[in-house]
Amino acid sequence: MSALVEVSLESVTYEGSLLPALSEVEFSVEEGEFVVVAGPVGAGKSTLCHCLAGAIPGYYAAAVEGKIRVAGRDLGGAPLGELAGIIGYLAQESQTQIVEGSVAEDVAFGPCNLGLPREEVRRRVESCLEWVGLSGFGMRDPRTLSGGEAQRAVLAGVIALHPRLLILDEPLAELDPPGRGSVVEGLRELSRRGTSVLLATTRPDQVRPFADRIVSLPLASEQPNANCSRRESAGQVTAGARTQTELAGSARRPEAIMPGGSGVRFDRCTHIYPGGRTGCTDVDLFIEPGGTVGLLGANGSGKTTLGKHVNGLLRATTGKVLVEGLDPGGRERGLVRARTGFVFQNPDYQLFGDSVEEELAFGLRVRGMAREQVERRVDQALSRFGLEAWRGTHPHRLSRGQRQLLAVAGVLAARPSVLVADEPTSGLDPETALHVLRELGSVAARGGSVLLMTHDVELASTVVDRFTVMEEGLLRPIALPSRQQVAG
Amino acid sequence: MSALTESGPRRVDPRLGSSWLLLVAACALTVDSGLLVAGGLVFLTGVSSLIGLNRRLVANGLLATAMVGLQIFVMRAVFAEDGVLAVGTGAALEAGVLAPILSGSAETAARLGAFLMAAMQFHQFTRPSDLTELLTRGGIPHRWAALPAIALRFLPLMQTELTAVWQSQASRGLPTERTRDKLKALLPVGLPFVYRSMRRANELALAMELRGFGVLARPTFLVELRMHPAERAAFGALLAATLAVLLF
Repeated sequence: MSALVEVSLESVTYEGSLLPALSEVEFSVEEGEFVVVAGPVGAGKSTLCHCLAGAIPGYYAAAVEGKIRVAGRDLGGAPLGELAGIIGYLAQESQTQIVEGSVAEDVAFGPCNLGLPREEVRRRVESCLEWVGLSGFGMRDPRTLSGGEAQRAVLAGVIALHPRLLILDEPLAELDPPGRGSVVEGLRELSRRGTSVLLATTRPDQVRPFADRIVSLPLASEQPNANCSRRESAGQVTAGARTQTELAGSARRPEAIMPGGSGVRFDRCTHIYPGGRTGCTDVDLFIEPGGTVGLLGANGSGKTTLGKHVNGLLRATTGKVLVEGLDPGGRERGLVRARTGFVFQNPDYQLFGDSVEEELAFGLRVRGMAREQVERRVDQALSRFGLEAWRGTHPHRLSRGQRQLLAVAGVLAARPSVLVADEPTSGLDPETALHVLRELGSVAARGGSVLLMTHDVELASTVVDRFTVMEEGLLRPIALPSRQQVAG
Repeated sequence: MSALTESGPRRVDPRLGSSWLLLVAACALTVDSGLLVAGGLVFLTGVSSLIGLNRRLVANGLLATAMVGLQIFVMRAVFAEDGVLAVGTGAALEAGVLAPILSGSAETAARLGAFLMAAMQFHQFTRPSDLTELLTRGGIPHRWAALPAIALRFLPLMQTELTAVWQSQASRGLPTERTRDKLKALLPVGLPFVYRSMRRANELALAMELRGFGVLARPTFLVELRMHPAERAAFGALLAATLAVLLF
């Protein structure tokens, strides 16, 4: 086998930043090899992927010291369009990569641009949609897809180019476990057929059995000074990382349960969207004070729809929802929102402050807290989430995982008595994810009620009292190990 | 295979859609009778409802039309008929002066409203990729021909983004119930929205480039742009009608 990719980077430093986002990285990828790039939040995985796809320095302004060669071409300044068919790149946020107005057209976009005959384009579209498990989704408007479905649709569009090198940045972050398994198996099959796969992830244990090799990226602050090639063989994941099971077993509830409100109650809650699509049907669920319910379900099953009823972002079409005895869809919505925290799947919708500190203070100020109290809470949040070093940094200079942490910290700083968290650990490494879950669990420990929507069953079981699963809008109980059993 | 090519109710050939838009524009510009213009707006609104255009969208279109009419009325009332400032002389308050200004403003707004309604119908039933193919066939380089289609797609996306930002900030405790609250929320909602829009535009452009956008001047299109006989007949009839309106 010959090396398809040769990476020899001394440093990559974004414009306006003093510290490099990535330094001293050296490795190669052979034809047909499946390489996993693993590292914690903020290690520079996305930066490396951008470099490999040619997006740095072309699209993102950064000083690059070193070289990257793909298929014998030096990537520095190569026109990106000419790399289509050689490099396929799935960036971290899938929704922003959807180009066309229907799923089929979006998958066809790349092959059409390459001028392939229409019949060949159709053949590729059908096979790629089937490959990612989206057969029958061809005519769907991409805006109606869930996060995981959108991720699979974009992946189909990238694979339809039949690239020699496939670069995937956190492609499993928003997928449910069955979807994750089928995608990873499919990627393995692609690499067997000769496509080189480079997959960046915070969770190498999810792909370890399928990978030929794992390259580890530690945090920039822990990166070696020079001349250190960081190659690693499969099965020797670094980071001193314990496995998810070990981490889950080490978790303990942070505080004792205290009396709180009257919980959250869904009473035959049904939501039908304008246009007739059903979000959820006849949901009966009670989250008691001090309780944490884990809500599982495949992508698009209606979990987010259900969660949005808690703070009145959606109103039940029939049935009712009560939050600590108040109706979140009625006149008491303001009161409900004042005591409810909602961690959204995408942190970028809520970050607008000039600095991390400002961002944390915003949610407290709008609740009318005194200045001293705001400062104290901000300091506590910075410390609890390890964000002190970024206190004055603009939130959008942080990595995706760090922005996720900031969004969670901002919500928890207000000490809500009811919390809804929609995939709060997606894209986080296991240690950070567990830390976030324990912080979320502190709401229940204070007597609050927590609804946790997640695909991270193993880690979530450390804080969740019971799990329930959504299937096509219907809620069903499920027997999975809960917090008590894990602790026992 | 049919699942990828079926036209469905949302697909009308862009040539047919354009000819409809052209006819409505010609009528809106040339018809003298205010009553006919108002009748045309009512007719187009009815057509929009019949063909399943989103009711909220239609209502917003009519509201925007009414707002424009109000603005025209205020401006014309302030400056009176001959361009002289009417405020202060008391002339603007006289019913005899206001009545023709009111009817004239309503007529202008109705002309705009009719065109807006036809434009919404065109947007609803034209697939952006068909429009791109039509322009590419017309000799416009693909990079440029794709721009209207990208804009057509980007507008609803931005609407979705704005809703998501608004919901996110409201759930953080930002008051959004009263009008005053909504005005105060413009900054915390507007800044992430602008940031998201710029980021989205940048990432979309990157995704397009990486998938070979603009490499070929004449790329392939998944669905072939082809007029059915009935569409050809309708296209011809609409063009003839437009010509008649303009000439007579």
